[in-house]
Amino acid sequence: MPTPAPIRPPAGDAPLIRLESVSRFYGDVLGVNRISLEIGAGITSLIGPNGAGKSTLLNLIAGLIRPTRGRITVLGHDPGDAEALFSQLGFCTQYDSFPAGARGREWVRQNLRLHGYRRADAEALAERALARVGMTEAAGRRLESYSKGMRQRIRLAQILAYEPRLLILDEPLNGLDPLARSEMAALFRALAGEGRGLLISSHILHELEALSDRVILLRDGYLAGEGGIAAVREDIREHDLQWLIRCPRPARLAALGLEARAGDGRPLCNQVRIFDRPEPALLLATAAPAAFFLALNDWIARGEIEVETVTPADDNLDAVYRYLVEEEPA
Amino acid sequence: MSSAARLEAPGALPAREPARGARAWVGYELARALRPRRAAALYALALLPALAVGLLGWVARLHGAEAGAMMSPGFYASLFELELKTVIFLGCAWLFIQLVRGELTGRTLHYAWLAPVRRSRLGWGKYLAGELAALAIFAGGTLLSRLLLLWLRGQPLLAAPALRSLFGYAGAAALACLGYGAVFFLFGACFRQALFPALAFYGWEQINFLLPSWLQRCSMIYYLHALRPGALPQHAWGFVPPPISIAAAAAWLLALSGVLAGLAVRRFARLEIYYGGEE
Repeated sequence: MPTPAPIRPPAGDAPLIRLESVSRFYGDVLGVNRISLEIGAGITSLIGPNGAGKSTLLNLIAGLIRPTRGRITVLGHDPGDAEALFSQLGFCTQYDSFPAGARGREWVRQNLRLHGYRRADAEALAERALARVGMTEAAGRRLESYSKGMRQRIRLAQILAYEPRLLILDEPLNGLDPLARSEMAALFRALAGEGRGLLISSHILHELEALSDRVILLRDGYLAGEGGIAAVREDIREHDLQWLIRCPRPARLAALGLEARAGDGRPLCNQVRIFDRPEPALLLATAAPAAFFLALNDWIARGEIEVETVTPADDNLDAVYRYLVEEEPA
Repeated sequence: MSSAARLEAPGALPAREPARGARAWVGYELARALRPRRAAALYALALLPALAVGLLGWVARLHGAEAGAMMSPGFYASLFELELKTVIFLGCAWLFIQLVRGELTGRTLHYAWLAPVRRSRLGWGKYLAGELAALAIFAGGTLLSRLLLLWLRGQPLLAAPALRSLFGYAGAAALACLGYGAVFFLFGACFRQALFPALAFYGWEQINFLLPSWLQRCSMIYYLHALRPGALPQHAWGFVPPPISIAAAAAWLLALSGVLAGLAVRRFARLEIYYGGEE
């Protein structure tokens, strides 16, 4: 097993990436608008539909484009400071193109030479990275002959080779078969476990859900939400969170929920649906889950109801994504 | 301790040196520019003068004439004029515009942009690699054609006049590569459709002899004419160019190339990459 180099922890709690009111326009067309974010170590997912501004945001962070307004700091540097930044930052872009005629191994080595490594060191680092992404065997072939998945892997090897502290990956799971996706996801977890920061954009939501420590949602160039999956959901007051509660007297629980009010006067439950079969249960929608569960505990403690199980009906990224970035269901 | 052994140790990466990265960039760009698949047209273009000399020599031999007698002293001067205005001009246009535009149309420039090398260094590295490639191809082509002519004339190649002429023409070709290279590198960095300004510049260089003397100075060919060893081809009409010494012409060309290349590098380093719409 190749030995990865240990990563220096960020100084204090300093974020790896900081965006302060960043906007980018392409002429009159909005790329992203007034994005303020701080991104730390671990895996952060960037999700949004096509045209939401994901790639624009990643390109801004990596300095391929400059913000029209606002300020970006990556690992304490301006993204334009290539010499200081790009030995610590690896970016797999959305651009699926390579120099004509290049072979995988030679291409990874060449990039390391560009980083200023000696020839022998570049060779050793390249082999280690190729092994890590499972491309040792295919590395002698021309890049043009690679499948989409292999091209993804070789680009990942290219940036893993110099062991960056921060990896930015634009749709890295795109084009991979299920087994390869699973292997790649394991690799991302391992990289995060080594203390690196990963910012991953993707539309493959269920895989991101299992991976992510944090989610950033973009819609039409605007930040639609950020935080942990549940926290993001909590932030979006206008959308209800659904819970399925198995209990012997669902009608009673429904009555309590509809009568109770949160601290700001809003009803704790907006919608309820009672099920008798296969077991008595209540499906309820709440816009204030924290307040609802405090109240639920209180009702249980006072013996007003009994509860067998509580299951989130939609507390996952797909639901959050659907609520935030797709059209509302009719 | 070997590199592999060093990497096994859980610790730091091997030492890296930014200057080594910049040198690697020049080497990489030079290798790409000279790669036969990419530069085949340039090699063919550069060989045209030598082919012309060889063909004329062969025809002369067929007719039983002495090649030296058939090829007048003005022959090579006229051929070099054609070489300057066509072979080197067009070759540099293709080579230097492609240095930037080729990467943008091929969507590969971001790989360099994401390396820990200052972007101005990447720009200067590209220009340097382009110049080295142009020198190898076009100054090499000039040397070859001149050597062939001297051989056909039966002149001793190592004699002082032959060497002076050889290095004179090769030097003028080298300075032409430097000047035209800088112009086209700037066009490549500034214009998405660099062909149009290149065509306009081509016209400007071709009609240079028709321009008033003060406008003739605003061209590359004016200074290149002063550098060439042979006599200038005479035109039936047009303005007589004002005289300029070889040293002054070389200094002007070097200064002009430096300024134009500097502007191109500045523009290159400020490029934003979103292919198809880069500014």
